[in-house]
Amino acid sequence: MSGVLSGAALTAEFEIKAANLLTWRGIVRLAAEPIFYSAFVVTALASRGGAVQTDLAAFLAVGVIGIQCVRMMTQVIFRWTLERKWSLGSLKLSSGVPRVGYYVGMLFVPLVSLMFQVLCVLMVVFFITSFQLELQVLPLIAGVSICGLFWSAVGCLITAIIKSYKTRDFVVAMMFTPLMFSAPTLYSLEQVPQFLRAIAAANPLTYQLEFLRSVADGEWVVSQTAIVLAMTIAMVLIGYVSTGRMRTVSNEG
Amino acid sequence: MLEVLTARSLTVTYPGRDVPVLKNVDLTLQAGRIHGLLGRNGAGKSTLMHTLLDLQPAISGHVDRAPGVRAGWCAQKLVIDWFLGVTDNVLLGARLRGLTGRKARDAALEALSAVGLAGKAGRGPEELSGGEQQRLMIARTLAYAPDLYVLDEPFVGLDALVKENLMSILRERAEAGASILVSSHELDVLGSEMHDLTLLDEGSVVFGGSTQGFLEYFVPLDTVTFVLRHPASEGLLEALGDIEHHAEGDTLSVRVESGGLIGELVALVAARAEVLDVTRNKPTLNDAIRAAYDHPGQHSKEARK
Repeated sequence: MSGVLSGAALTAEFEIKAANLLTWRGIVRLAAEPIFYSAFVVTALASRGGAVQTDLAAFLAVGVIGIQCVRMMTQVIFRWTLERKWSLGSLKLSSGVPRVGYYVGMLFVPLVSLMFQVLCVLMVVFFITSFQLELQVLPLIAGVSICGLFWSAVGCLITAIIKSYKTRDFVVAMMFTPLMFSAPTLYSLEQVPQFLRAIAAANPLTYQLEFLRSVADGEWVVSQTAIVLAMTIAMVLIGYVSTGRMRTVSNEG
Repeated sequence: MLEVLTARSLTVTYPGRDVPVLKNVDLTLQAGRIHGLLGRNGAGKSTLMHTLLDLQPAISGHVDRAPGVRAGWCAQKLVIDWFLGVTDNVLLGARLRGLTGRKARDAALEALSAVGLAGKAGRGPEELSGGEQQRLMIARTLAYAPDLYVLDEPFVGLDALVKENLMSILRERAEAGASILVSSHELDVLGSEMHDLTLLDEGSVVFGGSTQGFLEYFVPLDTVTFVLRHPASEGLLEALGDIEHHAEGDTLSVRVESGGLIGELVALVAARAEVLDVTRNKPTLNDAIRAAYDHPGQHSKEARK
């Protein structure tokens, strides 16, 4: 157990360094997107007659958080691809880092980054609503960590499936926008045509957004929570299995 | 001698290929010894190393590592985290070793100094030359200080001084009890340092055993060359009898048992010709490797001793 924890800590330590999270430049880079989304998109879409509607801003803030979850998945794919391409996973795993520790360490850093981005979103939205926003922040953060774990694990799985690194950008481009906007991130499903509802029903983000919006309102709906938890647990386990590929190198000589 | 790792009957096949890359390979690595892994390009050296490290699955056979033995890998291709600085890349090795804080940092800086990169500690790996990037990976392995070093072509791209320095560090680590497996084509650096060697050809072991045993089995004879005032006479050549020899112009080459005394031979030749010079050449590893490739079926258990 101590080996798993120290392996996770070691992996996380170098992931934090690689992501530049301990420098002001890295922090600004991380904060920029959620701040801009919140400041411009949330403000614009939540405004009616020149004033920001608080309930609409809360709805959209959770949507932006959902977008950040998917966005984080693309970062995970990017980083895991590098780990495979440069055999860094092979190096760490062959040097005694337990696979579980490696997996936990690799998932931990994107999750921490996501939490920071969530705080950025909430701060901006609190500001633009003149601090009138009523959200259950801590439950929301707990909910986001569950959803974030899901997308981290999806990123890990996708990296394991992608055989050619050249296909990575193509896959990310094909997934990112549809995932973000086929779920009710910036609109309500009640207002959209049937075909869009059908597409949204196939998008895991839809269920996560429903869950997060309930949680942000202070309600833990059992069925929603169960669905989101089950999706996350299943994906985390599948993601773990896929890390088996991180160890393998295939060059000859 | 403590066995650090043993591999038995390893066979490896890459997906989509019929011919195995490794065929029934056996290997034993011992503590305190430098083991050379030799063979032509594509012989399966890197694949064997990957399989020993469990980075490549084998379709049959098994690898047993002694309990508690930590293996450190320095790959042939670049294994560098381009998002970390030079020091942090090496620090990873020290942290993997279990060092923390100041001790880890000191170990990283010491390893960087050992490979001559102390002056570039503050840079990014992309700012280093190809040879320096190779040294960076070596420094990380040195900082990790494993019980078993698995070094895949570590001398590629290094200048002569750095090669010598690295070899001397490896010698010291072996003397301190580490087991060192090195693949290389640079026999001028590695040749005299290897205690044992495994020669691979097309995925099969041509020879596995001590370096001395390899030389004695495949090239058991030294060459004694006489430079004569005049070409060797018929009488001299007849006097040599069954001894393997070759005369060309003023030069007479005679094959003698490796390490055997040559006083009688010199006296025999000197009695029948005016000798201007005598040299004795011991066969090199390259001679032995050539002989091994020429007679691939010749190796036996006896040669492995």
